[in-house]
Amino acid sequence: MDVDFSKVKAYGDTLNDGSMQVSFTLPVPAGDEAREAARQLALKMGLEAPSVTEMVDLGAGFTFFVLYGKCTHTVDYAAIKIPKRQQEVLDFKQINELIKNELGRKVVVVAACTGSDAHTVGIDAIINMKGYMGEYGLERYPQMDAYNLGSQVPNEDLLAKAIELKADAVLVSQVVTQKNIHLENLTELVELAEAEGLRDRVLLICGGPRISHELAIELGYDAGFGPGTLPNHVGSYIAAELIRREKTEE
Amino acid sequence: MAELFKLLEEYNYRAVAIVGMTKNVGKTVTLNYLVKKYEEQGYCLGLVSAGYDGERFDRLTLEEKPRIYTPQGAFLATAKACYDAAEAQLELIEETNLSTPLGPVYLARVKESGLVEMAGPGSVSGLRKLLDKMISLGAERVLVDGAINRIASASPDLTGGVILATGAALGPTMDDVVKKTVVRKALFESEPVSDKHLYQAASRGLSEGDAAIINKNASDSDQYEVRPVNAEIPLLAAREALEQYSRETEAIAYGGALVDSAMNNILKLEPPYPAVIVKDATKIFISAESYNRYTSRGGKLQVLKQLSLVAVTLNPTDPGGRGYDPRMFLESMQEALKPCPVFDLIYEGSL
Repeated sequence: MDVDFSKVKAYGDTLNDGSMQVSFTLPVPAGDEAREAARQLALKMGLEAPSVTEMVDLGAGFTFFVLYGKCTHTVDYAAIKIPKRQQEVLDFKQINELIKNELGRKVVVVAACTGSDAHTVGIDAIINMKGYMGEYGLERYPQMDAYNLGSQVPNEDLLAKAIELKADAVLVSQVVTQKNIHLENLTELVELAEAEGLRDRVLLICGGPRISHELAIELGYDAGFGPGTLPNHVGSYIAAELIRREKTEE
Repeated sequence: MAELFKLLEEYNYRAVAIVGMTKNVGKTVTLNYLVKKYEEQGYCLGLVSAGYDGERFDRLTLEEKPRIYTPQGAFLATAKACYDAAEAQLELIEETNLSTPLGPVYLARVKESGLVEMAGPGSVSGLRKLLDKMISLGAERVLVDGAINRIASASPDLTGGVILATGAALGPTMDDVVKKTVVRKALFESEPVSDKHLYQAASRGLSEGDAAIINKNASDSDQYEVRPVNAEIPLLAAREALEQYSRETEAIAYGGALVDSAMNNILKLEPPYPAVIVKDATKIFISAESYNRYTSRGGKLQVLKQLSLVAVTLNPTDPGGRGYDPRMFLESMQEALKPCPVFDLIYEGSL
């Protein structure tokens, strides 16, 4: 197959046919006019010869469509450069051995949902004993002392508790929406830690459905974990980073 | 009104921080403007971000964002992954021991100008290291771009002057945006402790403790009695310090953050309130409400080191869709913030 990576088109049956399927809902009652409206919208989207293969009346004046068409657009795949990082992921046993051998002490992790956030499902999946999708939570790690402070914890209290417990890492979970308030709750923790002179003493880690590495950097965190994160992903990062820091300090 | 660049150059600061009131208020637009001006004037420039800059799309709203242009010869600090993906041609100077979620921070020099994405370290100590290195390598001006609403990079320990970016994204109405910006400006411009003896007392209190109670000396009104308080973190020391408050207390000095709960405790005291002294304005995290309540009843919020707010820049549009008439917005802000210079770089045709 001879693909021109500078002009990539959608693939249906043959290379560069541009075929694709799209689906959407229009706020109009089902009927011939609705079908035509969907077709015209697809044409405007750059789909040639669009055909409506499915039209479902959703009731209350809404109609759902599935269409096929040939997309005329191409993308220059060769020119795309995305900054990315690959982190080595270890399993439960490897992480514990690494901590035992390289650090020689238990790692203390303090976790909470901060501010007004009460969505604990993410942090529970990472911390709680039973874990998630067959991976034990950090509480189960013999080389870790994990504390789950629960939900709606004020940033000040979280910092004070982290220092009291001599935490190596602080995990914060937030459901970040487009409303800036959630972002600002995350940045406040970083800024408070900085003002209190604690920023270099603990790893600050954030997690949530909208969190990415890039957003974590913007927020000022040492790491960020998004959807699909398992406890051992977080554990691998904490262990590796603490060991790295200990070595560079020597 | 004079040009922002000329105004900034009058101060002759080596390092300047650009901080924002929130996301999408035009920090990168201001950065790009200054980069262009410095390039025209032939300065050797250093660029570092306290967050992540130059990405093509906003990570939450998916709106297109301005990218960052780096001129030839400039020094640049960015995470390895961004270094690898840069469109500008870069030459590696050093792999630092600072880490980010996108790999270690690389210090590089721009061989051929072009676009980059900048990802910086999450700590002020990291920024400090990069800044010092760039200056020792010959950077004549260093710009530190902020992230979201983070202000730590504005600390006078790190940068000489600060440019504050604000805009429509900050609040639901123009009035709200103006009010929030006015408070931020007032906090940034918090006055240094003017009484020499009180300044010495506060400095001594915070060098010996995480917080300090400063009492009037009964026999000598020029002198102060200093009681340093230490605790696990300065926030806790501040709580303990307040327990030692008495009618003789002239001021309370905070070695770390000044937060709303601390301010609320002071507001529970009988006026006249003691003065509140912090190291610098980036340590202040109180709300507009408690700031106004404290200052309107005679409270004095003072700093040991004053921050230099050079100017405010505006973005009259919000990616959420709202936007204001640029001229009206500019005039309202200029009126509310005067004498602080206010610019809308796009509306005024500086770009």
